[in-house]
Amino acid sequence: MLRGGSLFYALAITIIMGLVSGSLLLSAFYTRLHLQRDQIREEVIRNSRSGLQLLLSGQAGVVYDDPKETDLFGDGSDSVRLEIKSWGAFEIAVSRAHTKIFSHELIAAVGWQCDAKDKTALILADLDRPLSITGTTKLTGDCYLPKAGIQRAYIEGQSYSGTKMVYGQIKTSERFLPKYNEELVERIRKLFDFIPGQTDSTISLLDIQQADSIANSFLNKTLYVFSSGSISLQAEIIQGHVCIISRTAILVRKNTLLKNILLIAPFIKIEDNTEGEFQAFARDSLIVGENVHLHYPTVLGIIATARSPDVSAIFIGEKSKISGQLFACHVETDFRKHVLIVTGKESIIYGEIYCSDLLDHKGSAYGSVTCSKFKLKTASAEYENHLMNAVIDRPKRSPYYIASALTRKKTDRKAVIEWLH
Amino acid sequence: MASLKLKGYALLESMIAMIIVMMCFGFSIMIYNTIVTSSRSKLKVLARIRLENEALHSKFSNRLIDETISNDEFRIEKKLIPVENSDNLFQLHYTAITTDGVLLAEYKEFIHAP
Repeated sequence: MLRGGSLFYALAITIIMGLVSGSLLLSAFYTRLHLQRDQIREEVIRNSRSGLQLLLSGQAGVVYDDPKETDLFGDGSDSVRLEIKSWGAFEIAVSRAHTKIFSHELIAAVGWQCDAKDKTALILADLDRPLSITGTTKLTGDCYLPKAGIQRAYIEGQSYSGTKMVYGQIKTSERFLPKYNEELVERIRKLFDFIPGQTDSTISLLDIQQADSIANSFLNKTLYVFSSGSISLQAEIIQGHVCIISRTAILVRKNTLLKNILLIAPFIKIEDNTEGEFQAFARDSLIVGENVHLHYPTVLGIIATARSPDVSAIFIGEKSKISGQLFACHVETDFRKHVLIVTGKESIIYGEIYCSDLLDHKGSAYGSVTCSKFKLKTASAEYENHLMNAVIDRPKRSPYYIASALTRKKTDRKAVIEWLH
Repeated sequence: MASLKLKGYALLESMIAMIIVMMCFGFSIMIYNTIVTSSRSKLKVLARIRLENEALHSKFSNRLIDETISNDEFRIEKKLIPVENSDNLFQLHYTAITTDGVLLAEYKEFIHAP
């Protein structure tokens, strides 16, 4: 009979060695698993980036609100779900790459980047009237002017103080302005007549007034806030895929923070000292108070229809700063009706102003301005095609500025404005 | 006078114990070897990281050409494949291949070339 003394020690050592070996095996297994997962994760993120590039190039063949599942490289291993949504003047591109264990999505607001060689500061339609400038007016960049040219004027005791008429090239403009995106304007116009359907996600005005903040991801359906009466937004934070539509008016009070949302109403008023970043489209008038700061990419637009008054206008208050686009057009051809954009003294528009009709420009536009006619209203008189103490400076706009689709040219290419969630 | 008497193990018992311990050591060394010296998986990770770095470098420096980059352990082949019907969309395709022709890692991404 064997005595068990040394066998006991041997078994103890075996168990210890087994434990050590087992832990080594486990550690190796988990390290490899972690590396594999990390690799898959990297690939999925890369695929979502590739999907977005495909969307930006227009090669994906994706139409609005109709997501498309695609195999990126044609080898059956890189599935991406691509989607394009219209969001006011911009597009929302969604690229969602997925495997069995991971998924990753990129959501971006998409606009149009203009040709780097384009230095256009001003396009003024040739309506057989010259442009007259006075005071401290300064036009920097290429200006497309009527054949009648540009001249100095003496108004309200002020004469032109500059040494050159235009600090850039003078080119001849056409009778008609470059066309805006009619299809997009029509899509926005339809929102004025929007009635929420049974399949639409809606939230009542009372809920929005009771809540401190509302956020909706751009992955979800649009969240509509609809009212046939006026809507007053006060002390709220509203951001994301939210569209606020009123049949009469929307008032944005100064302590409200709006981000990425869309406002649609015949009349919109933004109170003094408000800050935010949103798109607002009105049918009759859009009033921006004084000292309002609206960050990029903001779009403020007037889309005048048959129901609009004789003059539909955007008024930008004094000392306000808007980074983005001011846009005004009328969809009906009625010569008695006008659209007008008025920029107040010391206001700064960083980006672009497009008005298919009249522009009363008293502030500074760092970017480009396109209009049919300038209208200057002083305390004593009204002048046509006159600019007084106004600045249009194209070089001050970043070459990386990305515009909305409202005024895109054929040479422009799609680019990401901002990443959303 | 008390006699000093040492208590020993039986020969057979000691031999069985030694065999068990030796087998255990043997297995442990085999496992350790498999884990520590599995150079290919290490190489695969290395190749993957290199491809990601190369792609990043290519994109930021706008170095958008076909090329082969050789290394002691593997070579990297880079191809820029144009996407049909597009002027400026390309597939950036990298492969890392060992000297004996084994594919270690692959990198594919659509990029926009200005």
